[in-house]
Amino acid sequence: MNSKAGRLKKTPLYIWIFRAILTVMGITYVFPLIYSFVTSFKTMNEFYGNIWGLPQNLLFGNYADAWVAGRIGEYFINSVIISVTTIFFIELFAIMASYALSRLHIPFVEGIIMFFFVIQMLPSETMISPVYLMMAKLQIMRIPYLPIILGNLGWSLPGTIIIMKNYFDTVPRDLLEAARIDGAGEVTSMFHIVLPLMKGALATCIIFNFTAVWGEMMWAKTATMTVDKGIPLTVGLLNFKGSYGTNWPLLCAAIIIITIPLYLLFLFLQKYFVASLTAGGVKG
Amino acid sequence: MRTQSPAYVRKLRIIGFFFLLPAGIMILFTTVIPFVWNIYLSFGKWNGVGAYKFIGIDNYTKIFHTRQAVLAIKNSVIVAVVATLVSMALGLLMALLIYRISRIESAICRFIFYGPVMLPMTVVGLLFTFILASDVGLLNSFLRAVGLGSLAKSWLATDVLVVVSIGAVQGWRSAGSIMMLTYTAIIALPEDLFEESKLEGATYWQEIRMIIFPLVRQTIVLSFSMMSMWSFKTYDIVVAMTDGGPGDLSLTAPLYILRETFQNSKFGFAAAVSVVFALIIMIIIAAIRRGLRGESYEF
Repeated sequence: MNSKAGRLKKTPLYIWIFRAILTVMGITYVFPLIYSFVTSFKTMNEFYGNIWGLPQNLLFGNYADAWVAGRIGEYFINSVIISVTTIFFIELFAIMASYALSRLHIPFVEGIIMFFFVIQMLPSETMISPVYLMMAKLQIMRIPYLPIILGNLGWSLPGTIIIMKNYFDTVPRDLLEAARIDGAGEVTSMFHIVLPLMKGALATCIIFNFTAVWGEMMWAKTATMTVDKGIPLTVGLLNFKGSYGTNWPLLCAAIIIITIPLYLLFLFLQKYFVASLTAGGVKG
Repeated sequence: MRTQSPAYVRKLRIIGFFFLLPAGIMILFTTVIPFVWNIYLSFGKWNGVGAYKFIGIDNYTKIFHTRQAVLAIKNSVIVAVVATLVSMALGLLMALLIYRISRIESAICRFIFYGPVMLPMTVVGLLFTFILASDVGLLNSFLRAVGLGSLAKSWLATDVLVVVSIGAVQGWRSAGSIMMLTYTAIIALPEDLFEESKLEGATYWQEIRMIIFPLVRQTIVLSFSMMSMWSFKTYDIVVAMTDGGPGDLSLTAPLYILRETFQNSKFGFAAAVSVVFALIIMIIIAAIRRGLRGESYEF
């Protein structure tokens, strides 16, 4: 731990007990993934022969099968297109809206935030069928990706705006005043002065939103009910399970393909993430 | 200062309005209009194509006489309660433990425990169907291997146990968020708060009780209510694990609502179930926030 005053050189016993408990808990968290990683290299016979055994040789056959024949590759690209587009627009719209709420003298700000807080509590089951009907009427339903993007965009905005507004509130007003006196426009001051200070908040929101959009299934499944194009990973994975049933090694390969990008993203953004949570952005 | 002149404020307000517009339109289109429309649907009978017929509150009274609807709501509540309790217990424990180990160890632990939070529920669900399967499942194989075969159960095929298992899996998955929120709140506490307790030789448990818990109370309450909110989102995990089965033992509200809407074309009835479900969620969360509200300390 950081500079705890008067820390003894010798590690007290209870720290070792903590470590032991954490190790046991850690195993339950890591083991399922390591196990599927190992299983993903096995053949069906090897798997049903001995579920604890190691694979005979490191074959990437399951990955190739999952990627091409199981269409995981196609689903993966769909998910990337959907997530990246959605995240871009969520952050853009949320930054604009929260900047306005925090700094541009919008009336009834408290009321608006309260309203956002309440509507983000509503379960999506209370909206899905009307959204479906609306989009079907507007002929959006047949366009690949668009229905999923629009739905996720709208549902993620209230929560993101609340978090970001809290951050904008912490940016000193003087900084903006100075920029305004220098003749900077609102757009310029937003993107050049405030945004660089918000890296942490942005990283936090990106992690939250990306996790939500990448993993969203209810709306994605509803929106792709009648089409065969633009199906994202979550829905695709179920189709995959439907057609491969109990071929666990193949299923494990698919699970690993989905898992790795998420862990990489988090590894990359963890620094900002912890720092910004500490800064108190996510307080009630 | 010229920046506070009424004309200037008005100008900023107009710009602000345009900044709010894109988000506002999206929220209106995906949340506000659909929600109001849903309430309208809930008072009528409509199969998706024919004419809408207003029937008042008949859909609502029908819910209480429909076995599956009641079962689905009950199952959702069980899953949510189990998931919330498991994740709060695990998450708080993790946060308190990693606070006392070295910086690098705690970073590794955070990474490991937060990992599953990012995984899609579908993936977590599939992973655990595999672990909890009664024949080749890892848990049962493990129990048999260590001689506890009598504890092996069909986790996902027994009444009540199946929803408890699903809740536990969801709690396991979400504990990382609770840990993150609590941990970051603890490390934000000023160091000198602990000085005196150090001098007096207080144990860690005393520090937790006297300093940490009172001061991070707000964060704990917030994560508790956020967690209960998330725990009602049971669609993905149930579809991935049991699809409501076997039979309808693990049918949850979202699953039932979507089925009634899109497979059975009972738009009105399904809408009524969703409104009741939303109300139950709101009441539970409001009760939690009220019940746990207490004095909060500033530092």
